[in-house]
Amino acid sequence: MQNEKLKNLALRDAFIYSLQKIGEKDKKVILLTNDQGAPALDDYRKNLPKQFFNAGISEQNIVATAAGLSLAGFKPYIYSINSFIIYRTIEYIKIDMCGMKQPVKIFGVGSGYSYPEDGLTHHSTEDIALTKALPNLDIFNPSDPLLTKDIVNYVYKSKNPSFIRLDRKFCDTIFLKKNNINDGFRIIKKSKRKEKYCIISSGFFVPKLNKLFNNQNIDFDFIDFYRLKKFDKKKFQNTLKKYKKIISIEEHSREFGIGTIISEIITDNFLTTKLLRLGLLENSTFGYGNREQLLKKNGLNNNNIVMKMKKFFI
Amino acid sequence: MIESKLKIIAHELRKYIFQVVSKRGGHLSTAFSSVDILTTLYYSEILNINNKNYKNPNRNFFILSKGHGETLLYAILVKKKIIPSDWFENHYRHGLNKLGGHIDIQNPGIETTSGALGHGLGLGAGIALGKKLQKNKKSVFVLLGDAECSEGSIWEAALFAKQYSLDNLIAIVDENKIGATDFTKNFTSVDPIDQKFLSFGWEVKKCNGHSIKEIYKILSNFSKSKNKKPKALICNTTKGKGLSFLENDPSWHSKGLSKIDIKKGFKELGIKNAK
Repeated sequence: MQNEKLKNLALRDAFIYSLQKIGEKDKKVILLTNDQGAPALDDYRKNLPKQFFNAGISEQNIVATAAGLSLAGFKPYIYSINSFIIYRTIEYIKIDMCGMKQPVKIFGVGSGYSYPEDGLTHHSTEDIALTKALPNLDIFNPSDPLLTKDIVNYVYKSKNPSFIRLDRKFCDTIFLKKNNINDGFRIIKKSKRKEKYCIISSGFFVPKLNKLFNNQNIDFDFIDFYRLKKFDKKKFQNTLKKYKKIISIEEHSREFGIGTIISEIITDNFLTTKLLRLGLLENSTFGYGNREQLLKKNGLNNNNIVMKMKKFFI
Repeated sequence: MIESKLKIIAHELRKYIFQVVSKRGGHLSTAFSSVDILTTLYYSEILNINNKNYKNPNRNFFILSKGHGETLLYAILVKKKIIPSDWFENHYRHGLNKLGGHIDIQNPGIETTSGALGHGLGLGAGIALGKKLQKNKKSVFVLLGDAECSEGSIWEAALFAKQYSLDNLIAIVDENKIGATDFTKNFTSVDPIDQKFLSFGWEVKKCNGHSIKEIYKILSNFSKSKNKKPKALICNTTKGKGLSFLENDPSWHSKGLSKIDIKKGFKELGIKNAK
């Protein structure tokens, strides 16, 4: 599918269409779901019926079965709701994928508050924290459909077990250049100021903030940090050290999300950069509402972000 | 299959395992529960795994889902010259070593990592599905414990295997009716487990889990049968079978042997020279 078409798809559909293109050429590609649907999935099932299995609502078994398929020489992909496939199966991911080094690829839809009205069971606001320490696992948090496509193509060739968390909502494509997935981050906006400030965000927040920043008169760099474990650490460190101040913004718990990863790089390399971590607060991660209302509970609505930004940067 | 020959092998394995466990520890009562089952698999043509073909993609698979059967599997893999004897006899379970108290895929001849229960049948279902897609006629054998079958994931895998007609997937349940601490009837017994597998659409047979003749006959038929049904063989076993003081006593799951136990064991098993 051409980029022009992909640009208008939800990340989930961009993933499935991109995978279908690979699966048409490689019969070892197998897609497993736990009874999940998607418009693109109907197309995939029609075109590649022998490379699709609905395993029913059985997340533990899907991960084990996918690892078994991998042991038999296949290239298994799992498509599921993010909170279900990660939280229920963490031991299966640890042993069958990471421990046994089986390159199963999990695509979880519904990161953060993607299902805002559905509450606690569907919020996926701790999944980076849960998976980050697992050995061998590659973790991605794409922010737009074209990046999702590039990640699908990248993980197809990768021998790492991988977890790709996708937002459920449409995310505007804001970056048209080719992505270098090895970097794991991309600079969306560059400031002309001498004194360097930077905002770093990930996933759903990147297009949302980009829209917000276009209407503000604050000059800073803006980085999309989308590969959360096996990114180019040296390059990222060299980028971070240029800044006097950084704000990380994420729709994930402040505990062990992207802010924590950035703070690790700052600490481990003795950088003098100051970091303000904005994310979900421990006691505000649950509940029902629309997405803006839930973000507001955590002080992450647009006005609040601008206020915090001005206070920290100016 | 020459039954008398396999009986001798099973007895020799019990002796060998007892000698190693007397020095290094291990899951002795579990090993003695499953030894006749694994002897039948590994020493007849059913599994046909040897030190030449154990990496061949066109092989039968054996998954030890009850990872605490490691003592027995290591012993067999040593005898098959797949694992070096030194790893097992001199380093098993002590310090930095290759062979720990539960199995790991990094070791030769070990198909999956296990120790956390409930993974093996799903892994086996995935391999069996892969073999079906490749039109490969080989089978996947998975050894489960009956106490392990309290895990919900076993039944998730059972549903999946039936739905996708995995008649090349053969579960063997070592039904010794003892868990890690007690008889299963005192907590979450899955008895009657044959009825449970039957109700999931599997083909099920039961046998004496210490009769090599019965095990062989059923597994041999299972591996040839292409009836779209996954298969389960429920092996009625005695935990610790072969040593009077070990048999059917829940306390032996992870208990160590005393000097008196070792002396008694050597005598009962007919071990002359300590290894």
